[in-house]
Amino acid sequence: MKQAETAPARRPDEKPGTAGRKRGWHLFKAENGFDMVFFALTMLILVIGLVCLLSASHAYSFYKNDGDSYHYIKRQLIFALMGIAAMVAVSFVDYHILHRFAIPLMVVSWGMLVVVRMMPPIANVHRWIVLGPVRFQPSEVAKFALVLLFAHLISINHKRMKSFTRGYLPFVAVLGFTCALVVIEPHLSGTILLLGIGLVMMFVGGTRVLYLALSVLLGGGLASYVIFVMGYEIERVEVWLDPFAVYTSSAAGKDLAWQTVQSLYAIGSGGLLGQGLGNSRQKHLFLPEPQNDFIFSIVCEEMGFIGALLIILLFILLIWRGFSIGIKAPDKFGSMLAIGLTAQVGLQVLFNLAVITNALPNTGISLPFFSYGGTSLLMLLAQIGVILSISRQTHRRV
Amino acid sequence: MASTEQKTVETSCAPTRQMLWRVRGLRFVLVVICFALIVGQLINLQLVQGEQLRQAAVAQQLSDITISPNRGQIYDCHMNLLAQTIEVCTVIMSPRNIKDEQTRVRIADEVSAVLEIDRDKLYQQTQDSHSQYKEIARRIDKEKGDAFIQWANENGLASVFYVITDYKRNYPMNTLLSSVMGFVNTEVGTSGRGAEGIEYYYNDVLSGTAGRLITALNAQGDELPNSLTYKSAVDAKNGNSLVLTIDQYIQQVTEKYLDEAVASCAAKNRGCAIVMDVDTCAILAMATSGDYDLNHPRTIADATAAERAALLAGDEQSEAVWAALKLQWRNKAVADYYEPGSVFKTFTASAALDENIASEKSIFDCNGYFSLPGANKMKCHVYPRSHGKQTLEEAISNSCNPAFMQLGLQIGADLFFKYYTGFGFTEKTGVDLPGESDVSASLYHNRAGLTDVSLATSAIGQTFKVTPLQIINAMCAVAGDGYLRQPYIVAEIRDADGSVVSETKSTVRRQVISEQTSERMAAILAKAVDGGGSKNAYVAGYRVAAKTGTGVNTDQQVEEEDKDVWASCAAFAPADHPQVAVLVMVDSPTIGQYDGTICAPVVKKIYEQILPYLGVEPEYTEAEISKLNTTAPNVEGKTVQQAEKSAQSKSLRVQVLGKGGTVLQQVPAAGSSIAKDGTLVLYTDSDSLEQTVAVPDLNGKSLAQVKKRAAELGLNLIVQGISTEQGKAQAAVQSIEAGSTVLKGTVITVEFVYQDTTG
Repeated sequence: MKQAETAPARRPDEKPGTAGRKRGWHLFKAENGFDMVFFALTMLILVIGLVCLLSASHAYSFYKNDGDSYHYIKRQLIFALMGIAAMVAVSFVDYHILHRFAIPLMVVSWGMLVVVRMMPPIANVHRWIVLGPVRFQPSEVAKFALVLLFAHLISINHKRMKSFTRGYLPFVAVLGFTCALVVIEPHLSGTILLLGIGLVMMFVGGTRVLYLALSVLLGGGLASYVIFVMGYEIERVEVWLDPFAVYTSSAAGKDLAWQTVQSLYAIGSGGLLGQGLGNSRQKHLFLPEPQNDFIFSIVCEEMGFIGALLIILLFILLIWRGFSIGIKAPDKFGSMLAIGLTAQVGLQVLFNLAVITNALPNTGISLPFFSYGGTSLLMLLAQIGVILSISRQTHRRV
Repeated sequence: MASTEQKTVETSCAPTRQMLWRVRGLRFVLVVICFALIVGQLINLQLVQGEQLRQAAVAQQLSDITISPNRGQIYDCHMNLLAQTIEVCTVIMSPRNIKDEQTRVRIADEVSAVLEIDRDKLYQQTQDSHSQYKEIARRIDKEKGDAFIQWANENGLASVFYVITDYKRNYPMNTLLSSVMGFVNTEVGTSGRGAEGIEYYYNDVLSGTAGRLITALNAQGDELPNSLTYKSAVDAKNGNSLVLTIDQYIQQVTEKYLDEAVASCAAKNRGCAIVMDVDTCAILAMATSGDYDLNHPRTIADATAAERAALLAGDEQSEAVWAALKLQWRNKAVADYYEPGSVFKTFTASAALDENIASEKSIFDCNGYFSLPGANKMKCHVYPRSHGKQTLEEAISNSCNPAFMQLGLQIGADLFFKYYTGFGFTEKTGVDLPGESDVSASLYHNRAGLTDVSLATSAIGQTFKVTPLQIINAMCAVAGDGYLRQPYIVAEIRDADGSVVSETKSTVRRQVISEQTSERMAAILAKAVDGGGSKNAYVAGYRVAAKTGTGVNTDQQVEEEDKDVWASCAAFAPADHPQVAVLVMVDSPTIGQYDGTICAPVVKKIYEQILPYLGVEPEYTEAEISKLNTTAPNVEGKTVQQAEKSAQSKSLRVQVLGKGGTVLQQVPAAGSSIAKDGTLVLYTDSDSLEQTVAVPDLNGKSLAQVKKRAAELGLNLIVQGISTEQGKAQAAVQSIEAGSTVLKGTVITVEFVYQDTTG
């Protein structure tokens, strides 16, 4: 009897139309609860990411932080806990209030992008704003701002999305301006991500495919011209095409291809089953920044192909589920918001994995939930919270 | 109404159908296709190329240090050290650990000064910032290396520099045995690999087994912390040492006299000498003239060749240098072929005696030449004179060509070829030295190629080629018991602790002639020395059996008389129980016409030194005893009468100079050598001490002339180098330079050389 009563609670999709309207702290209930699958996937990936960070960073941390192997993981753990709290908290907030922040946040992020140019450079680039102990990238904020603004514009403009002046130009203007501010940091990978997110949202939002296709062709042509004719970043492309040739060509070539080659060494060393968690040798200063962009190379080395494949599967499930939430969202704003945020995570995962496997040239894109970076993780989890918040309303559609 | 409106709003707010389809399509593309790309890439990297990448990674993660074993020593037969490995150090720089450009410049400036190395090259090396291993100074003295490291520590550069123990091969005797010893090509941190000679042939024995120390390191070259520490060590096994059959003293004597002879006859293509133990065929000495310093094998030892090369440039220069080096490393005694000439008559005679085709007393007729149908007249070396009728014994002494050609034809091609192969001239000797090549069939006449003409010329040692080692090897068979043995140079192999690992036993290859034949040959050859054609090899007190020979280099396309020759002499002694064989060969002498004047004296000088050294008791003939020297008694300060008495007791004559009653000074001095029929000159006052004489130039004078001059001047004469007073001996070397002023009675030693010997 008891089992029969609790059955509907565990299967929320069974009767969507008749979902209850109870409000309150029903975290794990179908009615007003958020999407358990998405939440569980997030938590699972986060935990795995933290374990991998511990393993990947402890040697590097040992050498860089006077023998403190736990420097990175301690900070990351604190931010992860804060992030989980933020995620849950945000999930209770009705995402519709974000409409109000769409334009101001974009303006603020532009402001921050201007400010960051004036900050003293860190490692020769102006990417971080430092406020006491907190250090964050305005481009991260810009990504969220872009998703929010596009979701807002699409939701209020949806009938005119086919129009060139309404459904194309304003988006391209915003995107172009934002990207221009990011690319001068310089921050190529951030720019590429912004472009990707923007394209995805415009495509889903209803911009004519013709415009988009022409834009992509134009952009691609321009990029090819800049790289191959003007020779900008050509070295990066050469490393990408044949990292080992560049690596062995000269001392300078060795420097250029070092990170890519070390990453490939790490991945290759993993083989099918891996060296075992904690047993990476490449993380002992061979692979630069093993706690950051190239953390997944170490994961591949330690967990092997099987481990890497399982983690990739988890990411695929997460992204699939994120899009599903977008699909089931009650309104266009929620839908676009969920799709944009999911696309952001998806594209970042995709680019990161493509870079560490040398499927794409080396740009600095971190791996969500894995790479070290406290504020970034905090923001990511908060954005997941937004998706969860949307998922709370997926059954309200009439 | 309101509810309808709300419914409309809600409907219009919901995502459109197009949005949903687009997001589904996008999701599919993004998730499936893109991630398939990543997974495909992972399959390629981890499963397809995984092993290859892993190995490359391991190569950079593990430091595989070879622990170099110590190369074994090389000793002569009396355990005198000939080759050893000493520790030195090589300085390594790790540019990765250099902090900044300022430090690089500082290193380039200061370190180049401290280590005396090139500043610009060093600066270049500091630029390779990923490298941890740049050799900056090789094989410097240990003290210098240690001092440098201390300097580096004091100057805050401890992490940039380190030294590794390195090895250097050292030859304490420098040039001794150079063409036989070979040398070692060294690589950093190892004790090297033998190149040429014994070092090459016995490289595996000498080099031992390298050990390894494998350590897992981080990218800075430090060991990994605790849990990941990986160390695996295999101990090095030091190389074994060699004890040679070479006797350092005999080697020194051999090299000395060979070099003298090669220099005095201005040979174009060097010369070589081998001293061999007759019973075992152990090599006691082996020399090629033109020794180089084993400690600097890549320096051209021949001054003229070095000068010539220095004048060239570019490729031509490097070719010339390389050619000169190859030549100086080449062991002529083993690797070079030559025509033995009359030396070979020994083996022709041995075959005839062994097969009972002829005996010592068989008569051969020489009319100055020998002719065969279809061939030019083959002249005897005395042509147009002739040897007339002679016994086989005499024919050897005379080195008569027609006699031996006749003998060759009597033996016949079958038997001749049987002995030719029997004595080992168609195969390698099997000596444990590199450089012996397979004997090419083009070097000799095989059975089918032995026509009457080639048989006749082969019988006198012409129209075929052999190596010096083959000749002395065969000579040992004749001198010993008729068995051909395998020559060898390494007597023992000892391990690092000095225990004997293996000992070389003399190996019999086959019996070639009977023991009786070999005894008869020894007697015949001894006669050739005792007044015969090999008389320049005479050593007082010892019966030496020897045969000289001259081979004409018929490969040269020039007039017969312009052709170069190989002069050689093969000998063994004592003739009654042969112990030591000696072969001396000089390639293309340009001064002096006959083998007998070039090589036989070298053989003689070597025997003079080594037979007493080897403890062979001299047995003097009566004539020799009469010529033996005695020592001057001490008579200084005694009265003239007393002095005369003690001189008489040694049967020395006395000449008194001056008017004093006591001897102020005697010449020669007490204890020095004086001929048995010499005159002791006693100076009794200071005026008499002014009676000096000028030493005359005796070169080229006959024995009688020399004796006469010496007597006229009142000099004491000691004669060397001749066994009898017959023949045309000429003074060749005098112990006191012509024109020197000496006191009367001074002993002058004059060496005579026969000029009428034959090829």
